Amino acid sequence: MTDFLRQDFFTLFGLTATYRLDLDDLEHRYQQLQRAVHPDRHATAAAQDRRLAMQMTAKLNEAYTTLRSGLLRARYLLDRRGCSIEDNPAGLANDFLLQQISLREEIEEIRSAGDHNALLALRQRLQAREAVINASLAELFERPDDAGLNAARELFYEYQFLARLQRELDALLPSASNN
Amino acid sequence: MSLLQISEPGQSLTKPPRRRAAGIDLGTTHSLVATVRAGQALALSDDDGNVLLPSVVRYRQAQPVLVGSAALDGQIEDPLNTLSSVKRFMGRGLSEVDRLAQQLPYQFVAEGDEMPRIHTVAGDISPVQASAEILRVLAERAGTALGGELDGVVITVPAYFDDAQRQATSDAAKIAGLQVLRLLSEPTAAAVAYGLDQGAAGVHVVYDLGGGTFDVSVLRFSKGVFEVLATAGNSALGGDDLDRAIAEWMLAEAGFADDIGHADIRRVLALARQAKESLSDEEETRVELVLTDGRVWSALLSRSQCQQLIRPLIEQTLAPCRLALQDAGVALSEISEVLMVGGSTRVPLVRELVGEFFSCQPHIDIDPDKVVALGAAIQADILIGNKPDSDMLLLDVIPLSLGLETMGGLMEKVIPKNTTIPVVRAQEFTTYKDGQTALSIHVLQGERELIADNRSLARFELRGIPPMVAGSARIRVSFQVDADGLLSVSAREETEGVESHIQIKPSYGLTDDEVESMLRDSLTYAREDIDQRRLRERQLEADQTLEALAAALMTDGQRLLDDDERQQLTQAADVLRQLRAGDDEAALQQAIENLERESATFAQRRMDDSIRRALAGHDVNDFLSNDNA
Repeated sequence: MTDFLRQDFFTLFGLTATYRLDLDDLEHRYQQLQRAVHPDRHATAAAQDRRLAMQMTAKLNEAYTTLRSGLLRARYLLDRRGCSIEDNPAGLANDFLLQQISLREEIEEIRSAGDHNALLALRQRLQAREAVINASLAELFERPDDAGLNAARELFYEYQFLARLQRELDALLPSASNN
Repeated sequence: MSLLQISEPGQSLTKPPRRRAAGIDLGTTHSLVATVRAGQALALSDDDGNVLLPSVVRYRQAQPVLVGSAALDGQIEDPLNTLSSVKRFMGRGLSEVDRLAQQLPYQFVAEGDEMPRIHTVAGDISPVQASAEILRVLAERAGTALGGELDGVVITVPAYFDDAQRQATSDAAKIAGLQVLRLLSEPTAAAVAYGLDQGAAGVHVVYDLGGGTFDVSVLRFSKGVFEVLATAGNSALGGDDLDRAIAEWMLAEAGFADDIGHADIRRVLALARQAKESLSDEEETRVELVLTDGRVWSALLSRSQCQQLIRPLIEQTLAPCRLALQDAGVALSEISEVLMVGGSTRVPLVRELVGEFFSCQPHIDIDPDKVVALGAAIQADILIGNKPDSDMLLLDVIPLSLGLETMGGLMEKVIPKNTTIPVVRAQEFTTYKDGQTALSIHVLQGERELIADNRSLARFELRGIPPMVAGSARIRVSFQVDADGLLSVSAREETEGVESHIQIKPSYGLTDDEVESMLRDSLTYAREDIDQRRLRERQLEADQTLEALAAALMTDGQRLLDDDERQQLTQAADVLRQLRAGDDEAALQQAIENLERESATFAQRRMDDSIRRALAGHDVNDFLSNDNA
């Protein structure tokens, strides 16, 4: 196996494992690495080289997809530090649960009223909250202590919830042409 | 003063000869081939100067098949044995063909789940075989133009083709004896032809309405990278359908609807097509229908009347456009250009509706019939190694989600649509009964929740699972999609390591044996011995392996290998080189495999080394760009 196939997602991009990431820089690194490993670069190579190129590119794509997305990157970092993520987490803060319920109600109202402006306003509010979460995660992941990690996990659950809501909202938009 | 160069013994410093590569657009109504000469992509014509080869194959009794214009007359004279639009049947099951089949004269033969064949005087013909005939003619055309047999081809497929359809295309190439460098999406190929011409950065949409398929892709170009963000379409909608709508109108107006034969249907369709084409330039046209039984009908068809007939079909293409934008996460305002591809985009109403939808003037700078083949030729030239300095890179996606059947007849997605390929993903499953020792795995493609609404690609069984309590076995199913968009699936029981692996041969696809026997059949006419052919293929593979190794040793041998390792490799290569001169195919095969084993470590080190250099290059570039800023 090549080193590349053994490496974690940050190392293979030549990066240190942090949440804070320059996405333009990541994309540039991704393209440089694609130029080295992509099967198109090895189209006339021996069969085993082509297989290797395929595996390495698949890994590179996976790594890029993971690191490019704040949500997936957070999850990967939590996982890396041995902090497990559950599908139905218990012990979440009451505030968070109440917020979930009220946001769900709000979406239901928008849906039944077909209120386009309210939908766009809610979408903007969710995006603003997401930006706050992003900033907090960047700091929390730089803290070495468990308290910081647990706080990051709490935020991750909220982030996940918001991302799901955004998808639901986007599906309510009549079409992309209204963007 | 330049230094004298001294080459290593046995190595030559001459530039490697240009390899012969071509791009083939295998279309529903016509196909063509292009190649790069003197740095310029060029569509190749036949002896009569025609670039477009009608995708029509006529089978005859005890005589060679006719392909292209030579077969066209057969559509009326001999409709049962003259196959056209076979692309529509590639990788399709009878139930899907059925709808279409009613409009066509052919006698379909199908057993069980197979891809149906068409009964002709020359036997039952699979759509894959008919496609192979078309590919063969085009490859010969390119071979003649380039002065020898082709070393490799890029064949284009609609972006929206599913795995079964891609697999069928790949099989057709195998039967035609072609070395496929890559199956390339048609819109991506078109983007290459446009992108290299204009070097435009930004987000682009390719709208590709061909004879029988519709694709729309949203791509981002930047610094030589073409990244497909999303693709959508309809692999059963194209110009043929526009013709049919006009033909149906003519038959209804004439009152001939119910009782006309296949030859007449062909005639009406041809007439409808002519009318459609002349209405691209004129405001009205006279249509005159003469049936075989002497009945005659004539009328004036105006452009606006024609537009009424085809408008609903063209409007059907707008929903996929909307979806592709949504999936790409791109707003209309971000799109810099819309590129029009496919002969059907010549229809003024298509341009008008597309322009309205994207609120911009679509581009039609490159001949929409040729642009796909030209892009494929450019990519073929790069892949075969004729342009080592090119830094162009195409990053494509799978058009439809891949998944597995789970309890309750639902599909669990393993790889979502619009994921960049190549990709490897795995999903864990478990048993639902105590002591369960086998698991049946059903692979699906599509976006719907219920399995019945998606395409079934394959079923296989993982046997020999050790009996355990329900829910405690851990079965890992891995999906792998390569750069051609072809899927293979393997399943593994993690605790005991029982493994089952299949190359997905779609339920409707051909088995390896069938492909083999079709290859045999196809060679009867060429009077070529199959063993001879296989030996030659093996020899080419040996040459390729030796050449690649020699080049690798030259650049990296000193740096990445120690003396022993280098010597061992050289020895294995010598063995292969000796066998290359003989005619023992099996021994040659073994020597190739042996050399591959011996060079595995070297290959890995070279890959890791190229990665280190890619990242180092990144830092250097950073430095340079900062410096310039």
